[in-house]
Amino acid sequence: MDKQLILLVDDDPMSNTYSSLIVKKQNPTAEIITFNSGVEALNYLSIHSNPKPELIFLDLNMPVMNGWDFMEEYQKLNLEIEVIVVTSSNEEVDKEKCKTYTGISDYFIKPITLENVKRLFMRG
Amino acid sequence: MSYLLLCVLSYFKKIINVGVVENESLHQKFRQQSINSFCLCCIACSTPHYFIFYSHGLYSLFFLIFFLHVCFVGIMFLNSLHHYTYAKLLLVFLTNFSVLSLSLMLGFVSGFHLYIFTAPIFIFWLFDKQKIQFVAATFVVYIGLYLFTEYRGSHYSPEYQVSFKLMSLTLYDLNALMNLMLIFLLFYSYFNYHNLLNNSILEKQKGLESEIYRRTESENNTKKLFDDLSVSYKNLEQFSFVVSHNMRAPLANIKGFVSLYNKNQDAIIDENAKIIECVEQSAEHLDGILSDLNSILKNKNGVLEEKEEIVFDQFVDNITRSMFKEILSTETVITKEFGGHDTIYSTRSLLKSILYNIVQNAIKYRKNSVSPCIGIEFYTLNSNYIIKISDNGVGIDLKKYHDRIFKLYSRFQQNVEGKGIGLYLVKSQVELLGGTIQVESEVNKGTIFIINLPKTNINNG
Repeated sequence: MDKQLILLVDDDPMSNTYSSLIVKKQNPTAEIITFNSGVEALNYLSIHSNPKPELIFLDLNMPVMNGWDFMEEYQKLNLEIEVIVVTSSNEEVDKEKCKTYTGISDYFIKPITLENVKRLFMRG
Repeated sequence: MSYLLLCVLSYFKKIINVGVVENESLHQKFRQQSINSFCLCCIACSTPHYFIFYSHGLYSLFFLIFFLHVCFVGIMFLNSLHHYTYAKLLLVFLTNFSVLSLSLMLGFVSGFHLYIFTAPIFIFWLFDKQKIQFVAATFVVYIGLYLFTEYRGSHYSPEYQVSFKLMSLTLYDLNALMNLMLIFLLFYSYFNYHNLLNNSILEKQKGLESEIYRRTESENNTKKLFDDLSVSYKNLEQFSFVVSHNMRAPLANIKGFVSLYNKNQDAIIDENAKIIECVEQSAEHLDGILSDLNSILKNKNGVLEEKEEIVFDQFVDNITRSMFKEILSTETVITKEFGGHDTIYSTRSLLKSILYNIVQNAIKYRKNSVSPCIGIEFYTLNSNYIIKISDNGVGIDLKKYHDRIFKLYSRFQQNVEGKGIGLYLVKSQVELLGGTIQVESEVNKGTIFIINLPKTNINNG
């Protein structure tokens, strides 16, 4: 399995810890960088283009810059990185809205399971 | 014979039902039928007298019967065309005519029996809606009576003329006088009644107006209550959505961590320890959310407390004194400006929480290089208290966050610790006091909160 760079964007540090653990469980070689806000993640993405991240785990409900605001800014960077929405919202509105963003490839409700992560890496 | 009887009966039935409208109440129908029956009785009673006292040959009797018949047909015709008033007038006219004719035949000069026989007119006049027509009819009939009595001498038979001659002179004058008096009384009572009617209509109109006003007022109150309830319901919905959403996050973490817990693998005991620690932290997070929720609900109950007269200057001093550590450490300067008004009638705990949260935010979101400067203004405008709290802090980007500013768990600064509860609480508490809150802000310049509270006093508070 290749070494992968994965970005986790969630304002709740515990959610980031959990996501790191579960990703590591599936892919122990993966490199994980966590961000507590969309702004931090965007700053990182605009500066670091190498190595290119494989996946971004994005929470929707965040203060200051929420997931949708993040997506608006992220699309301007034209990075073509797969964005996986990981949220506790089970709202149809959110699911439908995700479909309007080409960068978002999956929608997972917290907590993400090993099966979810497996499916992601198998696809990749 | 029986057929003839039936014909006569149906004939009378039709006359009795003159002016009776289908959709009237039973009481009204009965009244009209009684009047008509009375008229008919008058005609029926007076007619046989022609047989006994006629003096101008049979032709006058035939003429009378023919005339009565034509009139009855006319009455029924008018009634069938729904000209009820004219039909009734004709009936009254006929009644009076027959009585008058009888009077002429008999040579009576005394008007008393005429008054009795012309009673239907009064009954009509008293109970009918179209009073003016009946007053006019009465007038015409009495003029008629007066004129006919002028000619009476040349028509009745000589023997009766002789027997009543002596009496007739004085009774005739008396009769004429009484007729005139009666006409005058009729008009007087009509106008008097008309005024009374007008007054009662005016009173009813006033009553109706006040009733309409009262109903509109109560409708407006209901509408306001409904609007308030809708807003409260929406707020509650939003609140429960946000709370449940925020509670889901730590719960999902706990669930996830527990699923990662390795039950039978001693080798990775370190990982298990980490998982347990994370579960503990998530549980604490959840507990924190629940205690926040508790404090929000507790604050919302402040509305149940009594309102009181609060000296605003002392009140603000007490608040700033309670946060003197923060004020001293950040070198915050607080300026107060009270526009001639020094007391506010409000709920102490709610007002305290509102001011405390705003002042605390002003200190928390200060600019790094500048010491916070907070201005508190208090004045009255029309029937409202205005409290204006301004600061020179980092400000809020209103273009971006204007719709989220007072929402639960909304935060606008990344680098400062905060839960996103303070402004939500402030807004709910201002609304509990029946007021509104506005915000003006510019990034890196500062923020102004303008609180508008309705002025209530001890009496209606």
